[in-house]
Formats: sequence, structure tokens, C-alpha cells
Amino acid sequence: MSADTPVVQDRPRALTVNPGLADRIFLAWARASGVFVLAVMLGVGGYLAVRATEALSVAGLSFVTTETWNPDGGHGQFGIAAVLIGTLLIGGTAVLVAVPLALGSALYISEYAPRKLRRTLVSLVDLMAAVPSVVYGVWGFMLLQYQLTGVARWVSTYFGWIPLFRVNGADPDDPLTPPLVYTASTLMAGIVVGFMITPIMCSIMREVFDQAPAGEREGAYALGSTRWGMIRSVVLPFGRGGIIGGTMLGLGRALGETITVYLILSMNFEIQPHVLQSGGSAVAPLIALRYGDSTDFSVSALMAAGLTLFLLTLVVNFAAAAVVARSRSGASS
Amino acid sequence: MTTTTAPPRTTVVTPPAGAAPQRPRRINARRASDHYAFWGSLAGAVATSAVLFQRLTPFNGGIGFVVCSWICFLGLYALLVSRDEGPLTVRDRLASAVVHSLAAVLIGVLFWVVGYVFTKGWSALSYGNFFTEDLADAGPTDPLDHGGALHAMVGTLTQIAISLAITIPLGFSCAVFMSEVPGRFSRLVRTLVEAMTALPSILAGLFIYAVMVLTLGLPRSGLAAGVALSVMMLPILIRASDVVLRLVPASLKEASYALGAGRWRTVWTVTLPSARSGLATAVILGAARGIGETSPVLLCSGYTKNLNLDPTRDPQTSLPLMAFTLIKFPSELQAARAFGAAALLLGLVLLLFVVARTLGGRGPGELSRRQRESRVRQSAADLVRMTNPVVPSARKAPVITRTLTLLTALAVFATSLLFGAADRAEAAGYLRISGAGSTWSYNAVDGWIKNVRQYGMTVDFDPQGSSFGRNQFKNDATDFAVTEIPYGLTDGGQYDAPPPFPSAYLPIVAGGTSFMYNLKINGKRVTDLRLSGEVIAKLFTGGITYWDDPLVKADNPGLELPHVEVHPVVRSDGSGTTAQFTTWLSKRQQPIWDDYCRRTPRGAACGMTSFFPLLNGSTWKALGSSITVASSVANEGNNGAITYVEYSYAKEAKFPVAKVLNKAGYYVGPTGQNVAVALVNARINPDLTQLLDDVYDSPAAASYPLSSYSYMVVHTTETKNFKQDKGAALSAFGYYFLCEGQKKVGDNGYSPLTPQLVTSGFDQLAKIPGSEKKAFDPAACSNPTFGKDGTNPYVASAPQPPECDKKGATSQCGATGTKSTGTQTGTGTSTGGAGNGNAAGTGGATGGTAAAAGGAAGTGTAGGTGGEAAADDPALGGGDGGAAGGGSGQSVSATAIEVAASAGSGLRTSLMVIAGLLLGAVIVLPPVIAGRAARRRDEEL
Repeated sequence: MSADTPVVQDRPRALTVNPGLADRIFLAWARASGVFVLAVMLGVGGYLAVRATEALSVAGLSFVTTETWNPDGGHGQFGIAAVLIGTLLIGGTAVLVAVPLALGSALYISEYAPRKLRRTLVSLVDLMAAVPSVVYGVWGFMLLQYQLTGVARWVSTYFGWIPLFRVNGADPDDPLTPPLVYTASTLMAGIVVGFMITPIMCSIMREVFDQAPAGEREGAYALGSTRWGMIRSVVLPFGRGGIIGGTMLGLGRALGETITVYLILSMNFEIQPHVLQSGGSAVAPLIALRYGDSTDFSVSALMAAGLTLFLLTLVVNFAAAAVVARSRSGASS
Repeated sequence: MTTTTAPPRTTVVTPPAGAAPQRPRRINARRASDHYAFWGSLAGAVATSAVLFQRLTPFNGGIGFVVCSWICFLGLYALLVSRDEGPLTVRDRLASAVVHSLAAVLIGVLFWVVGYVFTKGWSALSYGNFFTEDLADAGPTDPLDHGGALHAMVGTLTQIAISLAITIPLGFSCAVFMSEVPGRFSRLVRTLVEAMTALPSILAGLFIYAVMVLTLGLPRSGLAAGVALSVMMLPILIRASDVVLRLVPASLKEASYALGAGRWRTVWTVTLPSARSGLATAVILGAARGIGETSPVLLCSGYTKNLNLDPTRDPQTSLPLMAFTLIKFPSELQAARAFGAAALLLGLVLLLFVVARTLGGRGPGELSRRQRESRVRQSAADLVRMTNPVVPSARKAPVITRTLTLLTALAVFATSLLFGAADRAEAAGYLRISGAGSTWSYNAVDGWIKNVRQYGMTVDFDPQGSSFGRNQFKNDATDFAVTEIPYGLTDGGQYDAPPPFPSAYLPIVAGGTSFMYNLKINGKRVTDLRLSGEVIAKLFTGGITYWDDPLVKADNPGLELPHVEVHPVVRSDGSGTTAQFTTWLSKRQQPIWDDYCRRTPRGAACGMTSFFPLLNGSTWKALGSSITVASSVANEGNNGAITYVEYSYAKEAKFPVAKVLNKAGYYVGPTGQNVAVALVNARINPDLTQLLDDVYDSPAAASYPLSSYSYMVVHTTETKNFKQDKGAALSAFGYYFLCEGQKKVGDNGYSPLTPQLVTSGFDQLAKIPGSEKKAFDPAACSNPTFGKDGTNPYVASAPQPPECDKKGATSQCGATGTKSTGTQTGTGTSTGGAGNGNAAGTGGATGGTAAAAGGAAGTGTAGGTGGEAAADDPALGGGDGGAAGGGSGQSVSATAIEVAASAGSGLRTSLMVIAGLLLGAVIVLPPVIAGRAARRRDEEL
């Protein structure tokens, strides 16, 4: 090399990525499928929204405040006040039933169960999540709601002074009040739906509990904690995100449950806060009940109700995802 | 950190010689006192709650007892443990007890559900025919050795195959996109997909129903249901596969890139194969989710009792939909079939689950024992190969390709098979037609559908209410509708527009809207309740709230009515029964009805309506079909319930109906004859629709006021989904039920059509495109209303109501609160005609004799039927032993059924075998092929 040769500056070589034809086709295909799935997903929401506008423009604000459901009656004759509150009541009951059950089972599987039993239990819980809703439905419809009327009667007799537990049309002094008034109620539907969502919640919680750091557990034991003390001070705080997230995912499922609620609940279009009393309402069974009877306008009204349910589940789901992602244990679940 | 130079100071403790060897302390051991505390408090708790139950009876039933004992147990246990432990331990023990019991509850519920469904379903599953037949030949009262769930199994498999064919390719490529092409867009897709995993299945169903059926005008079909299922399953599958794909170690992919492989080759040969087990699990669990969904199938396909091999048209039912539909019937047999279907579904899901478990659970790149062994053998072989090189054999396609190819081939094969079979089936007879609508006349229509199978006709009928039927017909989504009220009426301020294409009304059957009730006096069922119009109106408008109301007592002087609340059960769907009932209410009990309507949220007089309005704060039950309301009233515990439903449902449930006061001052039941007598006064409009005002006021003593006709709406021109070939089938069906079909309706709680309406019906049938255009021949029509000289022997045969059923009579017929034994003697006019021997039965067991005497031929059978019909009829002392004798006609049709059955059984058996093989193939083949291919690949690599 001679001295007068100009110094060539070192430059990074420009990397030209020249994907072959196969790769280009592959990328295009992958993108196309992504776009297609996105379009389908947005299409569901978008279509609901477009079809719903007709009814929403007629009903206006009264859609939120009206209880009754008679879309053909026009403005002020249909609204989601009752069905939405009914849906939330059923969802709430389901979550109240499911949270202790799911939490207890998840703790049992991750903390108490013998190691040999654990895998079987996990399988059983997953299996329970796979049992079709109609199976829970026929069980609740034919058996459980009659088994539980005694409990409902007792609660309404002794706690009837709380508005939530009052049962109109039942005479507590009359032991012959037919079980009719206690069946087909929000409570019965909620309990059966609760059993359905428990396994989903349980498996999320269990996964989170399993990841509680062993060091902290040992530390708690070393400080003289009992097992429950360790769970309270290590496992539960660590898994808080999973507990809340799992609960909300379960709630999302409960809000959209159709067939079980349809079978059990007697539909009533009014705000009916007495959970023990026969009759209630929910969006999903409303659609199943009325989709075929409806004129074009009523279908539009049903779409509006469906849209509300859709947005509700979407919000619950997003919230669940956010809670899980922000929690300490979130990264993995 | 300072390092010490000193030698480690370790003290070795040597146990003192002669001391006992130390044992490690058992941390989790239970001491005797722990056991005492546990068992002691358990025993104490059970004893305490037993005492509580004896004394206070706060709960009843097993669940109450368990809850009560559990709470007692916790209290006692805490008390006992606190005697020798500190509060921390007490809390620990309590928490442990609670956690254990909660887990036990969850697992217990699982076993309870599964066990209950299997025990209840066993009675149906134990019959082989449950797996080899569809329900078309099984009426509601046929025992379990008739009919089965083949149609639902085939439907489930077809629909899940369709949805998997859509979701697997699409879901996998989307998951690959999300994990392999990172970026803002794929993050957006991922977020959205994750949010959509909770998409309620009903919304997926509604979306596809609105797009495919309402907007595109496609018929409801198994295909639509499959597409709806795939919309629901897609996010679930994508999310599960995305999680699996993301777990594939980056080092594997990097290695592939480093070896010079491109992107698609890396995905194809490294990423997908190493995630194989996880992907298979994702697919199977997604399929398990999809198989169990009911609502998309309900909306997009609809219920049918017939086997349907063609997913592109006509309803196709699935196992969950079958269970959902049949469970609502009041009959034990149908419930057993529903449980059978549910158990079958559960079994299928269990099977899929077990397959997923055995297949999955391994991480990406993780090998099973067999795979590891084969790798070892492989290495040994490689060593040999490398030392003496040979020409490498042609590279085989990667596993996934092969599996996919095989799956596709399987799907193509299955589809072609299905289509081929469907075409063959249709070539034999009429084109398959489907209808939808009324539950009021469903029992009659169902019987006809069952009978026309012998003529090679397949008719599907989806009983979801009259309004449903009218709307489906208007949308051209069904070939005919059955409804009680015509189009063009105004209901709740809304005008029900007629369909945009020409149509005609065809009366199909008459019947009585009856009041079925469940009322007991001292534990004995009341079977002879009598109600006047005003009382009925007040019962269903909240004017009468207790059964011992003076007004009810006035109608029933012979009954000691109990102080039991009235629990009206009404219809919550758009129903023709409600329309018939409210028409009567608005015409005959207008003040009461209008006043009620004004108090409901509607705030105005409603007149005729298909949707029964309820008051705010009402505790009445509102349920979705005739079947459901009848079933609710027939529930043993529902003392005091009453509903309005067609008479045949009460007969089917073996429950009494109220006798209703007519204009002549008699309380009469809704038997076929009484309905026919009343309908003599019906005014028929030119389009054959009915005007019932004079029926309500019929002066005949035997007339039932709430009698009416049910109609079929048929096309009179071709439309997009209704062509001549369907018209031919529909008209043939019409010619059957107008004549032959009317013979038996009397036994089922309906009433045959009058000759005039049958004649007009023939004219309507001729208008259907492609109609056979049969000329009307009264001699060939075995309708029991056709007399020799233009008379109506059916009406003439109606027994006069007994004097004890007259209003104001001192005694009430059979007013003992027990089963009426048929005290009256019917007039028993028997008309032995050509094939329509027809006997108005006397009460009870004598019905059989009367029918036998009346029947012209085949007396044995006819007599048997007559007796049975009368015995089935606890409500009405008279008993309508209207057994159509028609010996010759009956025996002919019986042979025809046999012939058809033997001809059809070959095809059916082979279809069944094919369905079974397909089921096996779909479940077993993919993992087997995948496993074998993997092993071969391992050997080759």
C-alpha cells in the first residue's frame, strides 16, 4: 500500500435483503391473512354498528333508559336499561360464585395438593372448562335450580328485608309457596354460569400462583410463617394481577353466555333487582329469543343490543389484559 | 470483599456414643390431636345441623344441609384447634379447611354434572338405534327404541369440519404472521384478536345470520352455522397458536437462518414442526369449544328432526341444539333423548380432550421417549452413512405439508361423499323442503312429517313460533311458514307487511287454544276445572290472584278450591297462540284486556298482539315456546300454574285443561269435535283467512269458544330459493295432510278441516309453482269430516255436553278433585264410511268399544287406539275416543311404512357407517399421521 493512496473511509456495507420469490409470496400471504382476520374481527363490530344505527337513531337516548323491549312500538318503546342491568346482575352473581371457588381451587392446586395429584387436577379443571355450555344448561335447568330453591327460600325469608333478596309474590309464612317463584331467577342462572366460568378463572389464577418466586416463599417460611401466612404475604400479593385479570376474563364470558341463561331464565323486560325472584333479563338470550320473530327494524334494535354487549365484553377484556400486563406476574400470562 | 486466609472452620458434630439415632422431624405430620379436632368437629357439625334441621328447618334439601354442616364444622374446628394452638395456627388450619373444601366443591360439581348427564342419558344411549337413526320417525310419545341422534351427530361433525377447514389455514397463517412478521400492524392484529377471544358466540351467530341469511339471502344451513362457528373459533385458535409459536426457541430459527434458509423455509421446516404438538392441542381444544356451541347453530341453521347430509341448504341440527331443543319438552322420553345427546356431546368433548392431552403438553422441540430413541438410532445410522456416502434419497415433503395434504384430501373426500350421498338420496323422491313457524300446530305438522317419509318426502320444520315463521318466509329463508295469524295485521303499532312476493294461505288444521293448569286439592290433582270468559281474562290480567277467588268458586261449585296463588305462565316469543288468545280477549273481554294493557309499559290498549305484555314488577313466567310453557306447568312443583296452549300439548303432558263456558251456557273442553262444532260458524275470507267473532259466540251447546284454524303460507310464484321442484314436494305434502293427514289429528288434540276448507285448500295448492294440480275427489279423501251426502259426520258426532256441565247446574261433573271417570254417556254416533269409520267415544274405557263398533274394518287396532285416546284424556269426562277406524287405509299405510323402512335402512346403515368412520378418521388420523410422519422424518434426517 502506498502512502498517497487516499484513505478509504470505513463504511458499513449496505445490507440488501433480497427475499426470494418464495419468501415474498410467504410474506404477502401472511400479511393478507393478518389483514383478513383483522377485517373479519372489525367486520363483526362494524356490521353490528352499521345495522344498529337505524334503531339507535329512532330511539336516541331513550335506548339507554327504556326498560321494555317492543322495538316495533317506536321511540321510547325499547331500550336496554333492563336487559343490560339483568346481564350485569347475572354476571355479578356468576363472579361472586366463581371467585371464591376459583381462588380456593387454584390455591389448593398450587399450594396444598400433593405433587402427584397436581397434574390430574389441572387436567380436570381444564376439562371442566371444555364441557359445553348446553351441558351445564340442562343440568341447571333440570336439576340444580330445584335443588337450590330451598336455599333461595331461606335467604328470602330471613334476608328479605334487603331489597336485593326480596321476593315479591312469596309469602314467607306459607310453607306451600310453590318453588315456581324461586326458579328461573337471576340467581339460578348466575350460579350455573358461575360454575361454567370457574375453571377458566381457576386455570389463570393457578398459573400465576405457580410463578410466585420460590425465594420469597422460603423466606416467609424461614421467618416462621404458617402456610396460610406465606400465601397471604407472598402468593396472593404476587398473583393479584392474575386474580383480577382472571376474574374479568371470567366476567367477560359470563356476560356473553346465551344458552344456559336462555334455558333457565324467564325473560322479563324490566329492571328486576330481586335476584331470588323468578324472572330477569339478559342481552344474549334476548337475541336468541327474538332474532327470528323480528321485523327488519327489530333486528336492527337487536343489533344495537348486541353492539352494547360487544362493547361491554370488549371493555372488560381489554381491562383484564391491561391489569394482567401491568401486574408483577403479568409478563408470562 | 475481604478474603480470609484462615482455613475453613468446620465443626463436625459427632453424635455422642450410645445415644438413640436421630430421625428427621416430620414437618407435615399430623398429630393425634389434629385428627381428633378434625373428625370431632366434623361429627359435631353433622349432628348439630341434623338437630337444626329437625327443629328449625331453615333450609330444605341436601344442599342446605351440606352448607349448614360446613359452617358448623368451621366454627367447631376453630374452637377445637384454638384449645391447643395459637391464633396463627388456627387461621392456618381454617384457611386450609376452606381451600380444601372449595377445591372439593369444584371437582364435585364437575363429577356431578358429568355423572348426572351420563346417568340420565343412559336410558337413551343404551339403545343401539340412538346411534343409527335420526328422529324423523319418532314422535314425542314413541319409546326410546325409536329414533336417535344420528342427524345431530352428522350435523355436528359436518359443521365442525367446515369451521375447521376455515379456521385451521387462516388461523395458522395469521398466527405465523403475528409471530414472524413483527411490527405495529401485527401488534394491532394481536391486540384485537386477544380482545375478540371473548366474543359471545351469539354475536358471531347474529353476525353471520344477518350477513348470510338476511343480507345475501342464502338459506339457513349447516354451512352458515359452520361459518358462524369459525368466526367464534378463529380468535381462540389464533391466540392459542400464537402463544405456542412464540415459545419456539429463537436459537432454532437463528440456526436455520444461519444455514441459509429463507423465511418461509424456516417457518415451514423449523417453526411449525417444532410447535407441532402445541398447534395440534390448540386445534383440538378449539374444536372442543366449537362443538359445544349452541347459539350459532340455532340462529344460522335451525332445528330439524331429519338427517341432512347437505350442509349447503336446509336446516341441519347439531348435538347441542338437539339437547337444547328436546330438554324443553314436557315428556320424559324427549328429556331422556336430550340427555342422551348431551352425554354424547360430552363424550365427544372428553375424547377430544384426552387426545389433546396425550398429544400435547410437550414444549416446542421437546421430544417424546420414542422420538428420543429414534434420534439415537438415527445418529448411529448417520455415522454409517457418513463413513460410506451414498446418493441421498429425494427429500420428502415436511411433515406439516403431508398432514395438511392428507387433511385436505380427507375433507375433499368427505365433502364429495356427502354431496354424492345427498344427491342420491334426493334422486329417489321429492326434493327436501323446510318450513318454520307455529308451535300451536306443531304436534299435527310433526305427525304428518313423520308419515310422509314413507312417500319419500323429507320435510324439515323448525317450531320457533308463528312470528318467526312469518319472518323467515318473508325473508325467503324457508319454503313455507305455519302461522295462526295472517300477514298485514297491526301489532303494537307495527304493521306486519306481507312478503314482497305473492303468497297464499292454506288452512292446515283446526284446534282449540286451551288452558292447561296444575292445581291440587289436598294432594289430588284437579281435573275438571271450569272457567268462564271473564275469569280467564282476569286470571291472565292479574285480576284474580288466588284460586279460591269467589269468581272461580262461582264457576266451580263442586270444588273445594285451595288458597293457592295463581301463577300464569305466558309466552315470551312472538307467538300465534298469544295472538289467538289476545284476539279473543280483545273481542270478548275488551274492558279487562284494555285496562291491563294500559297498565303495562305499552301504555295503550294492545288489541291483538303476538307478544304478551307483562306488568312492571310482574312475577309471571314468560317462556319461549308452547313446549316450554306446557312443560313448566306440568312441573310437579308448580302448583297453581296456568297457561294458554294448544290442547295437544296438555294431552301430551297428560295434564288437564279447563272447560270453558260457551254461549249456550255449557262448560266444554277443547276436544276435536267441540272445536269442529264451534268452527261451523267461522267466517272465511276470500283469501281463506278466518274471522272468529261468530265462533266465540257459537250457539251450539258443544262448541268450544277459543277454536281456530292454523295456516300454512305458501309461495305462488318461484323465488330465488323456491323453485318448481320444491313446489312439487310442497304440494304433495299439502295433498297428503289435507286428506289422509286429517284422519288422526283428532287423537292428537286437534280437529280436522271442514270439506269446504279442504276444497279451497286444493285450489290453493294448485297455485304453487310446480304443483301436481290434483283434482279434488271427495271419495279419495279420507278426511273424517267428509260424509256421503255432503254432511259433516265429524260435527254430527260431537257429543252433547252433559247436564252437569251446564252453568247453574247444582252439581259439577266429577267434582271430586280426582280423575274424572267419564260419568256421561256419549251419544256415540258411529258412521262407518269408506275408510273413515269414526266413533265419538263415550267416557273412559268404553271409548274403545265404541270405536271398535264404529270402525268398518281393522277393528282390533282401531279399538285399541280409541281406548288409549280416551284414557289419555283425564281432562274431559267425555273423552274424545275419535279413533278413525279406517281399517283398510290403515293397514295399507302400515305396510307402506315397513317397505319404506326396509328400503331406507340400507342407505341409512351405510351412511351411519360412513359417519362413524369419518368421526374416527377426523379424531384419530391427524395425530397418528403426524406421529408417524415425525418418526419417519426423524429416521430420515
